[in-house]
Amino acid sequence: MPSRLLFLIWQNLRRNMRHNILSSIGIIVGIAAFAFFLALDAGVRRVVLGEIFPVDRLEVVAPKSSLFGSGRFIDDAVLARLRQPVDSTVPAPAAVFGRMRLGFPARGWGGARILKRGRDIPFELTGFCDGVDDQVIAPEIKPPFTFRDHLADDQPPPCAPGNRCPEGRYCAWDVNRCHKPVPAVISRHLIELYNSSIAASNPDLPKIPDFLTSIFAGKTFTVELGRSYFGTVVRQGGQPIQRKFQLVGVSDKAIPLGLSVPIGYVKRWNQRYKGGASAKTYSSAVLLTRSKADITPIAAYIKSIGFDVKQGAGKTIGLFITLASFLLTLVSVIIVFIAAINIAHTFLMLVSERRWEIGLLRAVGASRAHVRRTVLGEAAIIGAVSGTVGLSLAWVAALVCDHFSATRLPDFPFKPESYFVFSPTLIALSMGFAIGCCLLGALLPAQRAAALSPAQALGSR
Amino acid sequence: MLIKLHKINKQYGQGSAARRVLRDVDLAIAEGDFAAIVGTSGSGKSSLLNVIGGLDRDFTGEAEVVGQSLRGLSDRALSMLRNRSIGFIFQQFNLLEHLSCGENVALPAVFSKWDKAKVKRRVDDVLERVGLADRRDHLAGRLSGGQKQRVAIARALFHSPTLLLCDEPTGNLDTRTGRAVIELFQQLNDEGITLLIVTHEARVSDAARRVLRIEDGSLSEDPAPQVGSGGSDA
Repeated sequence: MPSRLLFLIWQNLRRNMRHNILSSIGIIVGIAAFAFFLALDAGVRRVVLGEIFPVDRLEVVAPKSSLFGSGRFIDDAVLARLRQPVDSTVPAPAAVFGRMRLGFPARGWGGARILKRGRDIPFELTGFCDGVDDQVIAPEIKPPFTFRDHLADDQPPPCAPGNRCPEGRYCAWDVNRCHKPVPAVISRHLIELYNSSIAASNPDLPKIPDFLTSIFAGKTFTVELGRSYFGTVVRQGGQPIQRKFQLVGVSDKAIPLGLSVPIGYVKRWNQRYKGGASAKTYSSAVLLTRSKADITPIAAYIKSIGFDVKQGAGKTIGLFITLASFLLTLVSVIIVFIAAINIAHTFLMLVSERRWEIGLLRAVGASRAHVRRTVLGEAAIIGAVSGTVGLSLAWVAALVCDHFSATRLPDFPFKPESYFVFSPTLIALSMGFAIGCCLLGALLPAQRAAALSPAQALGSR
Repeated sequence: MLIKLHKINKQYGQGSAARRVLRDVDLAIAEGDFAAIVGTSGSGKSSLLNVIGGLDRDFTGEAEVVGQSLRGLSDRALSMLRNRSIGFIFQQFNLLEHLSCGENVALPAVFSKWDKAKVKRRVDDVLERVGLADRRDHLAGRLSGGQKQRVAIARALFHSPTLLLCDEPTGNLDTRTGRAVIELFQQLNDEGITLLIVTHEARVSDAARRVLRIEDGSLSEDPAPQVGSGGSDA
């Protein structure tokens, strides 16, 4: 558009400033609501579906079709089928790994050096500990720690008299060998729970913003395998044994509430206390997808080979978020469309008021396209300005909400610093929507203006 | 011929409500002519001017202006013809009062591709030509009637048109200012610009070399111009 036509458009906008401001209020409010709700949707999704209930993964379990079970179980052959689906239309997953739960009672204690009171904290591990493939978690563990089955390639030296061992090892008294501690990882859920409940109510315990620099990094604690705090004790495989565990990091692939250790340890312990079969079958398989779009076909494939997908809360919550944000966004879209009707009304009035001017422009050389462009140009500028103001309002409202949350709301797990994500796509979408609706509203008036006969328009003065 | 009209007919309305305003109008205006079309109110003179200026295409017959048949031109080509070759001057001046004199004069440049410096030079030239060089940055709404009409003339002259179409150009001016405008028209005609003026004022038609009379839509030509008769309206 030539700059001189822009000048003309600008002059028209300037002298009708009052009309333009009034007609743009609806667009501003609508776009502010539109951007606010979409940014909130993106922000909530990021936290809920990205961190609390990740939706880029599926947990595969054996079906429970009868009282006696289905007879199906997840073993290495099933993992292989999941890694490479026979059906070529099914997208290949990014990774597949098995989870193996401790199949016997276990309990632990530790933390006396961390707490000022100097007493160990007891904790139950029955049902709260599993084994995961080292290769899956190891890349997430930062030095100086590692996540690997030390006993797989390490021949532990015998304990010295007095149960003494070299630095970094402890004496496993049942075998009289100096073992390295069993590396254990925890999930972010656990960190968030700790930060928002335990640390928040206990001044002696600092929050954990970053695991590596926290007081828990590298800390060891004792786990007694084969005995629980509820009085249950293993009946086969010998006496309960004690092992040292070491916290080496945080992983979103760890069991949500509890500890995950390299699967080799769990296989050996399960074999000892539960028998050979339990060391070969997995409690579940986790399948990481390459994109969210792969979830549905892969889930269908899992069903087709006779296994179930564990229904996580992510899907339900995702649906709820989608529905809620759809309704709120729909309201804002309706506001913008009503505003577009208002824009249409204003422009029809302005075109009617400016009939002779349009006639004059035609007389001095404006074509129909020029007239149409002039009216649509005014609408586009109103849309762009309204969109910018609306987006700014949404952003300010988001800042206010975040400030309120940070200063007035108590801590809770996964409490985000911001509930909003203003992505470039959202900004472009909001601006496009504002400009598009203004153009839509001005389309009919622009057509009418362009269709005016210059002679009749000039004669209307 | 700069203007050639053959059997131009025009009517407003349809059926029984139809009103014929131009009846088989034939007209030929040569380059450099200074012609006045006179007639009473509602006789069809403004309608004829609109047809010649390409402002009204709802007519029958053949119209050729500045060598181009108006029937065959697209909207874009017709707009370009108005922009480059025809200047319009109106009784109501039709200035955009929120713009300055210079901006009003440069209005035709909005639809051409002249660069900024050339536009500025031309604005200065034409304002100088009409004696308003010192009013370039004044708001058009604050000028007197005579000054407004001179700005309108400057706007019409912006692209150095070959044809000036004037619809009652002195209708809103007092006698002295009107006379000055007529003198300006005569000077422009002397410089080679073809003028076609619709008027009902004898002082204007007296200045023209040809006088065409329109009555109930029919055009006829007076045998000789009444130079210097002045005074009463036609």
